[in-house]
Amino acid sequence: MNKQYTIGVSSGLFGAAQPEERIAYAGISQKAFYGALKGVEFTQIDLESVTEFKEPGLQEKIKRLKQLGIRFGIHGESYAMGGREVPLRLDSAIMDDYKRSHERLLDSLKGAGEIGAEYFLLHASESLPFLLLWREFQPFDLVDIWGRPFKDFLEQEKDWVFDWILNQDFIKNMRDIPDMGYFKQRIMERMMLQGKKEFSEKDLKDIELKAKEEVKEHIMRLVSSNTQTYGAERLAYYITAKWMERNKDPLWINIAGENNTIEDKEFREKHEDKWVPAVASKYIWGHFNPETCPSGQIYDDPKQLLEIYKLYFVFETGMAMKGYEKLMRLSRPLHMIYLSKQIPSKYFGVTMDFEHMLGADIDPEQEIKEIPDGMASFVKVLHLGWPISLQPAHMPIPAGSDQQLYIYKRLYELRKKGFKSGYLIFERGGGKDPIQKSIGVLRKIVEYLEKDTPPDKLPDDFFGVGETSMHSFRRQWNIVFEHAFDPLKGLITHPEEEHTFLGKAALGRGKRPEEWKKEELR
Amino acid sequence: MVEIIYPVGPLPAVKNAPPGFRMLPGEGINAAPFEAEKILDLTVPFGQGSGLVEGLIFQLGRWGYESTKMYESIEVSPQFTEYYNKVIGEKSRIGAEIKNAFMSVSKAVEDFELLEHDVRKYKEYLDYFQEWKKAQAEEDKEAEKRAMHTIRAMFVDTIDIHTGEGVSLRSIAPRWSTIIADFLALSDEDDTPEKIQKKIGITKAEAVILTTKNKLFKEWRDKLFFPTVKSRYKNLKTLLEARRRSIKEYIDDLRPLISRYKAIKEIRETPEGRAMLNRIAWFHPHAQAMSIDTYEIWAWKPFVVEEVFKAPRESYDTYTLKEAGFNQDEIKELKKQGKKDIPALPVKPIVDKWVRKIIEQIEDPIKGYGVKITTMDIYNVVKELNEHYLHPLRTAQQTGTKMGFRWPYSPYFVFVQLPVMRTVIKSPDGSLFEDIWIQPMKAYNSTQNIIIGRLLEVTARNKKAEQDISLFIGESAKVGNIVKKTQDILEQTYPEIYAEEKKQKIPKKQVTEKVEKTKDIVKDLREKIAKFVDSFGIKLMIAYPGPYEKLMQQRMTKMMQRAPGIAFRDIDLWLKKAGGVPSSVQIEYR
Repeated sequence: MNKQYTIGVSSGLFGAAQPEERIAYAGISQKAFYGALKGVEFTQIDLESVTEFKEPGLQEKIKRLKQLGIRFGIHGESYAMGGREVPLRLDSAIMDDYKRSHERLLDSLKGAGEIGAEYFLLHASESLPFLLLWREFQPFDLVDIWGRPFKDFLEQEKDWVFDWILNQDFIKNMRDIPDMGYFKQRIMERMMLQGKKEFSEKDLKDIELKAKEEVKEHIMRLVSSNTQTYGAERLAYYITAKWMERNKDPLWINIAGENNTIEDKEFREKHEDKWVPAVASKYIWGHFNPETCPSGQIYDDPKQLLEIYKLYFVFETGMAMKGYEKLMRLSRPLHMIYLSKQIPSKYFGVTMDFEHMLGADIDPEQEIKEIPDGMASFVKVLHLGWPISLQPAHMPIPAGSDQQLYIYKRLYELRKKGFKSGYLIFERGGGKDPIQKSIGVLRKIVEYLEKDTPPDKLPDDFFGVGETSMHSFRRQWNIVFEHAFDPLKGLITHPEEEHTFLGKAALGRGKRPEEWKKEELR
Repeated sequence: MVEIIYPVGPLPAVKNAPPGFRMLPGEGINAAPFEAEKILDLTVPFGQGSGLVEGLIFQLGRWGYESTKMYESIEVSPQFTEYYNKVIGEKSRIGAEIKNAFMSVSKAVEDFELLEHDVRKYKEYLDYFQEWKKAQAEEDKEAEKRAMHTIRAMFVDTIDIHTGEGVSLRSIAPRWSTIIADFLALSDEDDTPEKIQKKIGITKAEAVILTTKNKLFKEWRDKLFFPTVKSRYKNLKTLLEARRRSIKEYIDDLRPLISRYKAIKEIRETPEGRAMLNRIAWFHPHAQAMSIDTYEIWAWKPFVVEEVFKAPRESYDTYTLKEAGFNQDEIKELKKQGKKDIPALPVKPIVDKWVRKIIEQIEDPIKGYGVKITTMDIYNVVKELNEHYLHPLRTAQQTGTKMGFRWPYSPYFVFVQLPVMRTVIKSPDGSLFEDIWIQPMKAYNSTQNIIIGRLLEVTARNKKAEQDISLFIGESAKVGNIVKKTQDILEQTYPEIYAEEKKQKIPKKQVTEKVEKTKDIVKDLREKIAKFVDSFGIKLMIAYPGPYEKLMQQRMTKMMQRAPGIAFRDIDLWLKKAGGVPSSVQIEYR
């Protein structure tokens, strides 16, 4: 029977390594080899910079590694890996971010594909949470979901969009978005300067029409200018939300809810966890579907790279830094599943990282419950470790622990919803022994997962204390036997059985104690 | 060097006594007639000298004297090889033997201590098991749990800990903070995860781990640890008791060895002895084979002043302790020993100030023996004296056979003092001869209190010998000049620990001491007055209202001193005769 699940470990970071260990993390080829030493055949390479793909002789090195049977995936760049910038902001509506991110995405996928990575993983969103944009100084040079200048999008949607904008106080309240009254007054003042003293009803109607035009011109100028203001991106998000809503976009329906509208103050303000992920997803979707741009494709299509290299692109919940919990633009795996579903390629999927989910205030158990039956098949990768909300923890999973059982229960639930195969990656932390028994624990999890053993029916073996387990009764008994008389240590007249009964005989025959220690349990 | 000064008196008959040691008439008598003091030097062929002295000692017994020897010491020149090897060489041999014996004791004590250490440890565990078994028998689940708590804790801390990181309870406690407490709360019946989950309310993962640990614990306890502790404790206990017994045996074996060792006392041990040997003109230890041994023979027996009409005198079997002169504390002490009264002697109080004066010197650590004379020592001496006055069948031995004649019931004694220096010289031609030098040969008239003092010195001598042994084997220790029992030192150093159960009482100022002091002042005053008047040529005697003879001029010189005089003459004549002194050169006693 083919193995349904591949167990792997993450490689670790050059930037986080001690100086004497750095050689082991000096580039992709070195990182890829890490798993080979940890009892697995798969390594998730933690890409610290897209420039790592430029490593001299990389292809040749990778070729040799593959000959050794080493497989790997790539964890794409992340703000969490250090540096002062979020490297890829696929959910951004800022022109420069969009452009830079798309190019970097293509470079990353190309690099990953060329070396034969099996998946490329990216934190779905690491951008500043929407709620905090009001204090972020941003340019008004916005783009739509395909990366077009936002004015093109407005032009395309002019039939409704300006009227709509002018009727939404929450947009008009944004800085630099003046209201109609201002423009009307300006027109009237101009007319009075030309000698007009009285305004008929017709004049007022003309003024109204003219003001609309001026507002429209003003907005069009604004969204393609380098004018900076606080939270300019919000304008694109609000308008895109309405656009999605009007078009009954599947992402809006699935994520924000079909009957919800951005115009509803309560929904807008209290459910940023619904409509913001929907818009963020749409922007990400835009990066992967450039060919659908109504005014013609602007950017290269990353999907083609995935197809060429048979490379999976998997979205993962980003690591929410303190204060960003609940606020991340796209953090729920369920939303990412919907997003993956909407991208017309089989190479899209989701990574579930219980640590990141807990850190983003997402209950994995509840999240899995909400995944529609069968749709857990979009889950391609599991990042596993001691499940904890404080991060980055990346703590080992102890054998026979509550943590082991917790992970099993979630995977079992996922399996029931379609997660029949995938990568189970232990994301390592630091220290002398960052993995400990985690791989053994994952193997047990896989063993019983593949047997479809319900959590309440797990035997002692699962917990490492079965008849033939690594911490079996017999093995522990051997140790207990060896140390059975340790409480009597320090006795003077009776010999201490430091090296067990047999050990005494061994020592008597000239065996050195340390040699005997190595041999005794063989 | 022991230097006990015995009171002299009565004044003014004996004038040359040191201050503070002069007895007034009535207080007691300790005086040798002027004629009963001489130096006797007998040079005899080898072997005769020893026979002469030994013969005298036996003869004294026949004459009714009690005798003892005091202040023994010896010097043998290395040239006197055969004798040197026998005496000084023997001392070295005994010394080596003592060392070896000490090593045996030391080894035995060491073994004992080690065994005791192990036994303590095993006992500690066995106590827990005992408690556990008892609780099981009584079906007391709580007690059973309490008893097992320590064993379980021990399992966690010393056995299970070796199962390794991530497996041992100690190492997984950081992630299951209650797992150790949960393990301690388990009982033998908790053998499935379901039972444990139900009992403690924990996760299945923890329950599975605890099930395994509990099984391991039971196997370890029942198959390995308990049976081992049980059998080893038995073995160790047997060994311990055997070793305890052997220590006692070794120490008891040491006592005669030490006694023998200490008995060979060399003259050179003291500065005075060394000075004496250097001074003697004929003593050339490195050039000539010679030996010197010195000792003092004491012999005493009571006498009765011959009177035409002897006043009838009432005699008692016993005195009350108070009558005998003991103070309140001493009475208490004796009563603790079960002594409510004391055998009677001719004169009471038995313990008077002169007896106490002698005791004070005996107890002195520098000039005396440095041993404590207890009330029981006094009691025993009195009892011993008393038995001499009794019909043989009424003595403690209850035998009709007794050396000498039954002592007359009198407080006046002839006390013979013979400091003997026996010299053996081996001349270059190989001939040997002995010299017996007695200086001064003296016979005293001593009253009961003085004799008691002498006997207490004999007691002290014996106690000192035991004390030396006790010092040797560490039962006592010397603190400055004072020898104290090790237990007493501990009690004084750490009273709260070693004397916990003894109530530390501060002795009350003795009323009797005050009385004695007042009496001393009065006595000194009397002496001063007598001395002052004496300077004018007027003989003044102030009689002390004591129980002894007060009429010095009339009875002492004329009647009482005859007894020591005659005794002296008999001994002198016997010695001379035995020493082969021709009768023509003997002085006739009249």
